[in-house]
Amino acid sequence: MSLYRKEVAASVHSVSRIITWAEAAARQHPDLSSAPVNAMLVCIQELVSNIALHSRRPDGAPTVKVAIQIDAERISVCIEDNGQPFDPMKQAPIKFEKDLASAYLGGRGVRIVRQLAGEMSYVRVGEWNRVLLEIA
Amino acid sequence: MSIESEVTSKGIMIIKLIGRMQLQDLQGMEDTFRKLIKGRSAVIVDLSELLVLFSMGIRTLIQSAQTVELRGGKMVLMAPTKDVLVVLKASGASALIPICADLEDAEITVLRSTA
Repeated sequence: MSLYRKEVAASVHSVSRIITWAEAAARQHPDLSSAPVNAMLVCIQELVSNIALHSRRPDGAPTVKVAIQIDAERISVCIEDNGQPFDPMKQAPIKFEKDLASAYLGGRGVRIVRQLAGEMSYVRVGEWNRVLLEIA
Repeated sequence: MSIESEVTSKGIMIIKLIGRMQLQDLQGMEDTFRKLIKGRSAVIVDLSELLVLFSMGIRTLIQSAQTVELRGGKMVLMAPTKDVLVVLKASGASALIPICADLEDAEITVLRSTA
């Protein structure tokens, strides 16, 4: 099992840095198949982008911490931020859309994460939001 | 990410997304799509060289497809990579915007819908 950690101040540009770092972590494990690696990168991008765009603190940019644990069969991801409380699990799932004309424009990020991650959970610990993903 | 475009002899606007979509690309993508689809009723979005797609880019794709459809036209997505297709399906966008395997299929689909 390998553990990787990264901490940045949330911003539009820090999202790219985190993705680059996560890709480098995945490359250390060439036996991993591409599907879970892609799922991991997409989930991290979606959740960290949400933090960069929407999370706020009165004293400046929130801090984002990402931890990735990789073993032979699964990838676990923990994403924490110290912005205002936000539980993505409580975001109402998009209802079935009957056609393009009635389609919602937003709200798809959490839906994507829910679909790609086998398990997703949230907890607020002190001043930190913590999202845990298990990707098989 | 870069965006290229061309208009074919049949009047189809082809918009090609190339590279990795990043958060800082999104405002530019929205502005570019708005300009390119203006007045167009047949639009193909070529995804064959797009490596990464995420939800905010999908928002622009859905919004653009809605705009084209409102004027009686059709927008389709063409040749997404395996990784991009996974995201299109997970987001529900694949059920809203037709996905075509190649240019011939895409041209037939957009022209048939606007005939």
